[in-house]
Amino acid sequence: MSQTSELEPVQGADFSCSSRFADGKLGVSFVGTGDVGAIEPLGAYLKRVHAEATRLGVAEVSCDFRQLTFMNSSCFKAFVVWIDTVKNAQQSYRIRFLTDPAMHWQRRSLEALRRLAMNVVTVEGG
Amino acid sequence: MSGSAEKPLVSLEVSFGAAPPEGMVTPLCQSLLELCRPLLADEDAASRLRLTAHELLENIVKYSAASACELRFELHQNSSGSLFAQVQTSNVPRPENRADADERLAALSTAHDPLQHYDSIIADSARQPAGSGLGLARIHAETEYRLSHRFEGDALIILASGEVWLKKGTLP
Repeated sequence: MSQTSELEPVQGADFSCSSRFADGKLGVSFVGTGDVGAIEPLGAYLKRVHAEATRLGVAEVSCDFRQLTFMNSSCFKAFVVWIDTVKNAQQSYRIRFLTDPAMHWQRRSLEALRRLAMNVVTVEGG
Repeated sequence: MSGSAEKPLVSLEVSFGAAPPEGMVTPLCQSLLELCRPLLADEDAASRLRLTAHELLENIVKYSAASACELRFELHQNSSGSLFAQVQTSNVPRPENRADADERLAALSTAHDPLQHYDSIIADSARQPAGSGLGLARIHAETEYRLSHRFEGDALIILASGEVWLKKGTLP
């Protein structure tokens, strides 16, 4: 029996995230501006992503940042918490960030996340 | 703010009667960016400026007591011809946050290795509910803006200053 993902998307005025699950891979896309209005929904969403990735037993979750124009430090911290959780989880998986080289903050911020957990995080496109 | 008698190339000053509403931070930073973007040499400079202004403004929103706040921005040229952007905020922090802010800002400016210091704050923040100083550390490590701070009475003044490059032909 094939598995399906049950992640509810987040749809705000300036920020949204959604997921797709195909061929055994879980991908999450982030769009818009991650500012104060996105902090709570993002934190809750990343907890659900972790639960879903664990339930599905995926080896990797890809995070598409190519349409994410900005992320404040509180949203950044939500990713820190998630990565720390994955790093210390019994059932771990890799997190691959897809970036837009034209958005320079992505390279700098995500490189810091990679240093937090080099065995977990990879960054592409920067 | 620059300490120079020279008139800045661009200046902007926004005063708030109380801590600004959260929803004002992004539009204000976008406006600042649009004001400067025609002058800045590349998107990297714009990106660093946006992050700096955004994190400093959000700090005001989060940690101000109910009193006046201020954001000041200047783009100016020093005597050797280098161009600098300066973002300065002034607010009265809540009394319980004052010592912590002083300590965190002092630690940033005296960190032997800024990147290592940043990594350590990131790691600590994973298990800290709030107030980890991540925003200030992010400015320090990711934008190459230098942070300094001082107290004037109850008010905390934070100044972020970084070198920028202008588009060719934008200055006479």
